[in-house]
Amino acid sequence: MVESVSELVVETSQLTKIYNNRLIALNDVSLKLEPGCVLGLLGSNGAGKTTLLRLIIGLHRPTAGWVRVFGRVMTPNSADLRRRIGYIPTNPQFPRGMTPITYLDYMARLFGLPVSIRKPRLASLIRAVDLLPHSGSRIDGFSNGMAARLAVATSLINDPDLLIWDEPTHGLDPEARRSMLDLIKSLSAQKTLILSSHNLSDIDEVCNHAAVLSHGQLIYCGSLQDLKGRMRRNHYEFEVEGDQKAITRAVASLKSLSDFKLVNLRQRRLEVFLQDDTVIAPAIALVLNTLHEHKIALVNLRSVGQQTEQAFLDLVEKEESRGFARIYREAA
Amino acid sequence: MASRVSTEKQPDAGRSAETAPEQPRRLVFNRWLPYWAVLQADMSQITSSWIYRLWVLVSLLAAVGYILYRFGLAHEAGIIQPAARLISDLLRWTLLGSVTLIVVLGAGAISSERGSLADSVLSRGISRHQYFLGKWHSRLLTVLGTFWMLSAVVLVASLFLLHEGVSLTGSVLALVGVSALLGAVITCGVTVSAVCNSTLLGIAILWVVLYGGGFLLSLLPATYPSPTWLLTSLPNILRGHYDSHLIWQLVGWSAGASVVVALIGMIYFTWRDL
Repeated sequence: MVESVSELVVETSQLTKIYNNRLIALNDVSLKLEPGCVLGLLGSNGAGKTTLLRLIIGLHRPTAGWVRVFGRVMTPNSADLRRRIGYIPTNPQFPRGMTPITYLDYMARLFGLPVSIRKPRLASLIRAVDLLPHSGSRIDGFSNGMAARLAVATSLINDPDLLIWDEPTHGLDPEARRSMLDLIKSLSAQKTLILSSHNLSDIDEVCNHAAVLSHGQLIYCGSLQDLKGRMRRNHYEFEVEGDQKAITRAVASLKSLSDFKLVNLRQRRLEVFLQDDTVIAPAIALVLNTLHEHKIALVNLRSVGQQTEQAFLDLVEKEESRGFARIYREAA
Repeated sequence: MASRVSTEKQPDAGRSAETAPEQPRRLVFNRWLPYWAVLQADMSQITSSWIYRLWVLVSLLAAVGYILYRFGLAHEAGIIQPAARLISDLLRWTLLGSVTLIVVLGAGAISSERGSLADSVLSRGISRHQYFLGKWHSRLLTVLGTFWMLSAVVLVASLFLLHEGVSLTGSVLALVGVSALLGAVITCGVTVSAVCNSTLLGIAILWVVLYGGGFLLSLLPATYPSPTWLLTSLPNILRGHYDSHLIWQLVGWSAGASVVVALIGMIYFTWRDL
C-alpha cells in the first residue's frame, strides 16, 4: 500500500444522489479534501449531509458523478478502502447480547485484523475510552455516553487515516460532549476528519474547514476562517472600568458620532453597533481613543454573536434568495 | 494559509504541499476473516433467537410425541408400522410444518439488519459479496445442521423402538433430498431478504414464490423429479427402493437453482443502496 503524500483523501466530482426518482438528496457536489483537514459538514435537516457521508463510505451508490477515496473510486465492494476509514453513524446501534470486548473483536475481524493485532488494540481502546469497568457488561444496557464512547473505539479499531463521524456529539451530556470534542482535537493532529454536526459551536471549536450544504447543494466549501470572514461583525461589547461620570460622558460623546448606529451602556458593559457602511478598524480605534481620553480602563473587548452560526445562516439565506438566478449564475 | 479543501472540478488543481506525512503500513489483513466473522456472528445470533429455539422445540416435541404414539400403538394394540413409514411422515412434517419458521429465518437474514445496524457492519472492511455469503451460509448451516441432527435422533429412535425396515443408504439419500429442498427454500429467503427493505414484505413475497413454484412444479410430468414426487416417494426411498439417478437429479436441480437464485440476490445486493 504505497501512496503519494500529496494524495487527496476524498475527492468528489459532480456527485448527485436521487432516491427512487423522487427525492434529490444531493446535487452536483464537487469537493476535495487533503490530508490533515478537519472538515465540518454543516446543513439543516435534510440538507444531504448524511447522504454525502454514506456516499463517501460506499453505503450508497451515486446516481451521477463519483467519489474517490485515497485516489480510488469508492464502491459498495471497496473493502480495502474502507479498511482505512473509521465511521460513526448517527445514533450508532449495536447487536444484542454483545459486550464491548466481543463487539470490538467482531468489528476488528470485519476489518480482517489478525488476532495478534486486534486483541491488544481492542484492550487498549477499551481502556482509552474508559469502558474498562463495563468491558464484560452487555451493550444493551449502556447509556448514550457509553454507547458513544464504544462507537469511538470502534471507529479507531483499524487505526484509520480518515475518520467520518456523523453527529458525534448528538445526545451527549455536557461532560461527555466536552471529552468528545477534546478527543477530536487530539485526533485531528494525526488524522483527517469529516464531522457532521448540527451544533455549530462544536464545528467552530474543532474544525479548520467547513462545507455547507443546503437542499443537497454545496454552497460553501473552504476554510472556517473564510466562512466567518464573510460575515460582517457590527456588534461589539467593551467591558470598561473607571469613574461612572467619565463613562457616561464617553458614552454621550460616542452617541454624537455618525459612525455608530447605537451605543448602549449596561452597568459596565458598553455595547456599540456600527453603521453598515462604517469601516470597522477606525471605528473601534475611535471608541478606544474616547475611552482613553476619559481615563476609562478597558477590561475586555469582544465581537458579539455566534459567528459561525451567523455566517452559516447568512449563507443559507443568500442561497435561498437567489432562486432561479443561481442557474444562470452557474451557467455563466 | 492555503485552503486544504476546495470545490474545484479540475482533478489536479488544489493539491498543495501542505500534507501530513503518512506512516508506512505493514498490516497484513486476512481477506476472508470478515466473511468468517459474519458467518460466526450470524450463527450465534440465530441459535440464540426465539424463532430458532421455537422451531427446534416444536420439531423435537412433535417427533418425540409421534414416535411415542406409534410405539404405544404397537405395544398396546399390536399394530406394527414399519419405521420407513414413520420416518417419512416425520420428514414430510418437518419440511412442511416448520417451513414457516424457516421462511422467517431466511427472509429476515439481511432485511432485519437494515439501518444503522447494517451500517455498522458494512462500513467496515467487508465487501457486500462477503456479507451476503456469510449470511447465506450461516442460515444454510444452522437450518440444515439442525435438520440433520433432529433427523438423526428420529432415525435412531425409530429404529430402536419400531419395526425395522429402513436402509442406511436410503435414509441418507432421503435426508439429502429433503435437505436440498430446504436449502433452496433458505436460499430463496436470503435472496428475497437482500432484495426487500422489509422483513414482512419479504416473508409475503417468499410465500408467493414458494406456492407459485410448487404449483408450477406440480404440473411437471411424472417422469421428472419434483418436490411432491420426493415427499410421496420417501417411504420407498427409506426402505431402499429408489432410483438414485432421479434423486440426484432433484438434488442437482435444487442446488443449481439455489446457486442461481443466490447469485441474483448477491449481485443485486452488491449494487443496491442500503
